[in-house]
Amino acid sequence: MSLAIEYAEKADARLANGRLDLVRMRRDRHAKLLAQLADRHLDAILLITSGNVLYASGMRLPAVDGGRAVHQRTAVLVVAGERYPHIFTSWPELAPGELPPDHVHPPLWPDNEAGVADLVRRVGDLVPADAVVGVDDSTFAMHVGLPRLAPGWQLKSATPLLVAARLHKTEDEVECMWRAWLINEAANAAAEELVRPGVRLTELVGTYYRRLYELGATCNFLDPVFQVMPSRIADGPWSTNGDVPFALITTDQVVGAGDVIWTDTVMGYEGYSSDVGRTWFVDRPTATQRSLYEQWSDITQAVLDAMKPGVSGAELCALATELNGGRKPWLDHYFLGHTLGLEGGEQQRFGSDLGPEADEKLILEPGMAVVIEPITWADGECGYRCEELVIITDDGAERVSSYPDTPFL
Amino acid sequence: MTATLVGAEYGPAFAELRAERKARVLAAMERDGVDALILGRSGNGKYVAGHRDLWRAVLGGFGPMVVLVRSTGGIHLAASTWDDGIPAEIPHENLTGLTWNPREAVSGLVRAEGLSDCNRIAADGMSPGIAGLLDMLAPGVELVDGEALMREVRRVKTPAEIEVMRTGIGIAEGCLAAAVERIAPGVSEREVQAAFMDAMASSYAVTIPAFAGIFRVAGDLPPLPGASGRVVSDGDSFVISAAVMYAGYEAAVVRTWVPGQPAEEPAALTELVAACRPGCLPSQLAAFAGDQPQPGPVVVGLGMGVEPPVAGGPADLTGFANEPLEAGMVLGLQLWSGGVLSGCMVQVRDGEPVRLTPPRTAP
Repeated sequence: MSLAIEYAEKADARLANGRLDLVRMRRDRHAKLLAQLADRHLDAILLITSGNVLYASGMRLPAVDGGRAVHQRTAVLVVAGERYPHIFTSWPELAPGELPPDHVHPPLWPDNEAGVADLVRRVGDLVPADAVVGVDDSTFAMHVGLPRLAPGWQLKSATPLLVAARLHKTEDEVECMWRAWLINEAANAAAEELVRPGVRLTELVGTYYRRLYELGATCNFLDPVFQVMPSRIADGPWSTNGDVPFALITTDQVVGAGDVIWTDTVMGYEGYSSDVGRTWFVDRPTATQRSLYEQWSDITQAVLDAMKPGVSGAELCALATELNGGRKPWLDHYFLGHTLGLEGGEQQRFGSDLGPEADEKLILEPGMAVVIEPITWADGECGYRCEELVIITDDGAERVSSYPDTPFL
Repeated sequence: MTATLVGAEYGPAFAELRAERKARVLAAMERDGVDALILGRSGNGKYVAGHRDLWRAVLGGFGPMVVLVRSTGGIHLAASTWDDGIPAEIPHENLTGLTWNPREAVSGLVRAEGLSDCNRIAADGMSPGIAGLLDMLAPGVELVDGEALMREVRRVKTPAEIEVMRTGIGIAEGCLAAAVERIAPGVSEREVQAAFMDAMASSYAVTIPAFAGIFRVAGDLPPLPGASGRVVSDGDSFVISAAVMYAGYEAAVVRTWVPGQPAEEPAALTELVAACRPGCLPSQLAAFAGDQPQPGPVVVGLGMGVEPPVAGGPADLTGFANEPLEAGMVLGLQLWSGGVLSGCMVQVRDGEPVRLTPPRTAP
C-alpha cells in the first residue's frame, strides 16, 4: 500500500473515532477563561485577534487572508461569571448552537470614530461603566477612541490571560490536534509521491491542498512551503543572519535530479494546527546526507526521550547542542521547539532569540503540545530537517508525528 | 496548462506599479503633513512595499511591519530575514530579520533613518508599548490614523492595478472551471473545494486563497462558508464563492451551477451592476437584496484584499456604507436570490460601470 493511502486511512479512522466532543471542548475553554478572569480581577475581556477569537467564541471561522480579515472581523466579549461568551460577527449562523440568541450580535467595526462609539455603546450594555476590561489588540481608532469614549473603563492587556488559558490542551483539543496532524501527514505523503525531476513545486502544493480538503481539513493557515534547498548557504538568497535560508515562498521552480526538498505545512482541524515539516530526496541520498540524517535522528530521539514534565527548554537546548558537537542544531531565525495550538505556533519557544533566560523559564507541563524542529547541515551537501509533535503527559510525552524517514528505513 | 505567473510579480511592469503606488502614498503624506507611516496590516504594507511574505491566515495584534519615512523615501521591512520576495529597490540595510523578542521586533523601526526627526506619524494600529517607544524616539510626536490615510489612497485603482486584477480574475475563473467540472452526483462538497485549490496551485502557480470560500450544495437558506462531506445528489444545484490572491490583489468569483441549464445571470445581478456609479451609496447597493437573507456582504471594495465599503448582509454597518462611490473603485458584488448565488467584480467609472468578470450568458 502506498504511503499516501496508508496515511489517508489512518486519518479517516481517526476522524471516525467518536472521541471529539466540541460542546465539551467549548465549555472547558470558557471555564478556563472565567477562572483566569477571576484570578486576574478582570470584569471582561474583549478579543479581536483571530486565534483568541477562535478560542473564546468556539466558532469554526473561515481562515482568511489578513487583508480581508481586518474588514470582516469577529469579536468576542467574555464577561466575568457569565456562562456564555458574547459574539459580534457577520457569520451569526456559525455561532455554536448552545449559545443563547441574545449572545450573538451584529459585527463591530472599530475602524473609525463612529465604529468605536458603536462598540462602546454595545459593549457598554454588557459590562459595568467602571469595568476593568482586557483587550488583546487595538485598531488605531480604538487606541485613540476608547480612553475618550469609555472613560470609566480601566483597560488592560488580555494577552497574558489568553496565553495562559491556551497553553494546556484539554482532551478534545488534543484530539483535534491528532486529526490535524494525520490529515497533514497524509496530504504531505500524496505530495511526496509526485516528487521527481520535472515536477514543479507548485504542483506539489496543488496535490497537497487537494488531499487536505478531501480528507476533511477545515482550514489552511500557511502558504505551504515546498522548497528546493540550496546545497550551500552561499547559493541561497541573501539573508540578515547568514543561516540556511528556510522557509521561503514556494515558486513554480522545476525540481531537478539530486535536489533536496524541505517542507513546512500548517493547516487546521477545528482551528487546531498541525505543523508538518519533512525532508525529501529526489534521488538516493549521498553518504554525507545519510550521516546528516543519522545525526539528526540521534538528536531528535534524545530530545524526544527527554521531554517530560519538569524539564526546561534550556535543558533540551543544551542536550541537542551537546549531541551536535557544541553547535546549536536549529535555525538561527527560528528555535529548537515551540508550543502548538490554534492557528499554528503559540507563544512558548525554546532556543529563540528571546535568550537563555526565557528557555530556563519554560518548563514542560502536562497538556502542552510541543513541536521540535532540529536540523543538521553540511555546507555543500545540504541538510536534514523535520518537525515532530508530542503532547506532554503526566509522566512523559505522547508522540503524535509518525511520518517515516524515507529513504533511510 | 502551466502558466509562469509567479516570476512576473517581480518584472518591470510591477516595478512601475510599485513606484506609482508609493508616489500616491507619499503625496497623501505630504498633503496631510505626515512624516512617516507605520503599517502593520498586510494590505497596507504590501501596497507600500510590494513585497511578498510567507502568507499566514492569521490576524494577530498590531506590530510594525512596514515603515515609510517621507523625508528619505526609504521603505523599511520587519520580519524579512531574506531578500527573497523583496523588491529590488528596497536595500538590504532596510531589512530586519524574523524575531521572537518584542524588544528586537521594534529595533528595525527605531533604526529607520529619519524616524526620530518626525513630528507626525500615521499608524494603522497601535499599542501602549509602541506609542511609548515612539514618544521616546521622537519626543512630542503626534500620532494620527494611518488606516484612514491608506484607505483613501487605496480606494481608487490605477489602470495598472486593474490589469493585475484582471489577471487574477482570469486565474480565479480557471480554478472555478476546474471546480465546476468536478461537480457530479456522488462527489462531496469538499472534493469540489479540493479541485479549486488544486487547480490554483498546480495550473496557475498561485498558492494563496483569499479565504476558505463557499462550496455547498444549494438549499433554501443562504449557503454557509466552507464545505462539508455532503454529497451531490441528482438534480442538486451547487454554489461556489471563492477568491485567489494574485500579486497581492484579491480576485473573487461567484457561481451557481444548475444541472442541465446554462448559467444565466440573474436579472437582479445585472441591475445591481448597473447601479454601481459614482455618487451611489453602498447602502443603496445593499438594498438590492431586499428582504432576502444573505450569506455575506452584498458589496465589498476589492484591491489588496478587502477594502471598505463592506455593506449588506449581516455586515451592514454605518460609517463606510454611506460614503458615496467614486470613479476608479473596484467592487466585489454577491447576491443570494431565489436559491441562486451570483456575483462579479465591477470597476466604477464615470458613465457605465465596467464588468471585470465576464458575464455568463451561455453554457
